[in-house]
Amino acid sequence: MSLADNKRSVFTTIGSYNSLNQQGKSPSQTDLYPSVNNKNDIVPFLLDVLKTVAGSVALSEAIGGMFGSLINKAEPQLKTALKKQFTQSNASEPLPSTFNNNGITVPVKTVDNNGVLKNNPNSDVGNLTYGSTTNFNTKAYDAILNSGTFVNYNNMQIKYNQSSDSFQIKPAGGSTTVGSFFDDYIDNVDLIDKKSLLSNVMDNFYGTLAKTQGKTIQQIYNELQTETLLNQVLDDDDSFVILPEKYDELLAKAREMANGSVNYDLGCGLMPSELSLNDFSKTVSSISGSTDPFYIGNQLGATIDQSTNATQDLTTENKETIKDGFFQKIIRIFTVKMLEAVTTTPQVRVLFAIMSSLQNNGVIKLNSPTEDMKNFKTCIKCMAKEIMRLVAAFIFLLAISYLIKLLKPIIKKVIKEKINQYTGVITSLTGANKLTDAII
Amino acid sequence: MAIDFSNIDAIIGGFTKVLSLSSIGGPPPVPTPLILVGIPLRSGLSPTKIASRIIARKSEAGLPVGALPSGANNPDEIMERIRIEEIVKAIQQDMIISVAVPPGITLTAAGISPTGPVSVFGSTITFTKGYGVAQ
Repeated sequence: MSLADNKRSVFTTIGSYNSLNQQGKSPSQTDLYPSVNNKNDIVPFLLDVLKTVAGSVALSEAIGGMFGSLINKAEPQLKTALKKQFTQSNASEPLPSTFNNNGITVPVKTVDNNGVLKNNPNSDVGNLTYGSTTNFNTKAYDAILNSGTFVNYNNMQIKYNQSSDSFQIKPAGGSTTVGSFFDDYIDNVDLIDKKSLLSNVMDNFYGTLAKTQGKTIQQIYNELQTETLLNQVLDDDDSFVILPEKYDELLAKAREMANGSVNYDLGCGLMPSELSLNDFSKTVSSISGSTDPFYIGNQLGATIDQSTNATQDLTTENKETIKDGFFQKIIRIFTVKMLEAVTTTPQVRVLFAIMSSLQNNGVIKLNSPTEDMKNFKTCIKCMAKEIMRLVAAFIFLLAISYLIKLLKPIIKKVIKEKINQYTGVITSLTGANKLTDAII
Repeated sequence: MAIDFSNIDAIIGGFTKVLSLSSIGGPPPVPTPLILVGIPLRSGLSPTKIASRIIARKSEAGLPVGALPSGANNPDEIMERIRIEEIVKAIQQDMIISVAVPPGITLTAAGISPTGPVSVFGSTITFTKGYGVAQ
């Protein structure tokens, strides 16, 4: 290079460095998905991944699969986890004779917090909330109908006392130790009934059952408080304290549920959603009898269209956004209701009552579920962890299956690329490429 | 793939493993004699050849090849040549090629000792470093 070129090079190089400096820092990345910044949000993160890989259809399949196969798969694992929680230091001790003879006496309202037993199992609501004809709820209702007579259920006998509105529950014989009593009970209990779980999830969303049963705002408000605390446990918050500002929100939702029309912000403003008992029953019945995730997902998605019929001017795009929000929200409610099913339903409250009695010389220390959670904190936390693990594993495997479908053609392309690269290297080393070039 | 589904890091790790496509693996090694014979036959890097191949393939991306409709040189093609020239220049003049030779290379050596000529058979016992230059 000439002297002039060298001088020119100095100026142009300085100019290029100035230019690079003036470009400044690259704009910081904005996160489209809120789960990126929420440190421990496992399920929302998995749902975002699922949605990114396969779109809304995957969310529908996920929720369908949860109601279809996950519930069946989860039951034995949750039973194992629950048995561990009821294996205490007194597990090898024989059942006390007072317990064998008299059992425990517990008010119905202490066991049945959500008022399931107030409905006839053959009523429209009872048909959705009782589950099988051989489960605890049905047998407890039989006991209520046959006041003063013991009714057999699992390894227990249940007697209803009308004057004190309470159950006397005692062992039916067979179990010799405290540990085997709890194990036998848990082995044979219907922990999660698909139909009643689905009804609870849907009711939380639409308030249809709450309205039909004529539940008071206070009653729904109490139930929502229990649900909120369980929700917090699922988020690793075991303070069992609801923030003051949250109470207004719960009260507002309780009012809406009592009216059978609940407002949701599903990504594009508040949407009122309500579903008639007829549509509600049809959906629950058709879904609970199916294991096809796509069918279940579509049926649940269809309820959104039915529930927002009254809302005008909804574009197709808005409806899809609403459905995505609905599915994400329903997955969350599903998780909470699963936790409720293994911690606050009558068949599990009975276990807590018995455990409490055996640990406190016959005194049952059960109050409201929100208070009891503090006493059974470890059990609730462990069950929450187990449920989150099951749900996370389910969504993860679904996301991976979609991811493999996505990556399959890319993997083929990369393999082909590697073969071509290797062939290219070999031919260039042998000189064959020059021969090929010459021929071409 | 055993994953702790209560741990977000383990879940992210599971996705990362699948997304890294690490299961595909690397290509088989090129035979050493072929490298020794083949390398001297190569022509080395040519910015002009590379730039011309890139410009020739512009049509694959749906871009026009050649001069602008006004007849002027296409600045994008000029820029392509400059870009490749600078990259090749950096590779040839600035790139550092380090070669690590592991121990265990078998060797046969001949030498002389006070008692006369000796032959040694064995293997290297140290890591060896070498340098190279790209042309």
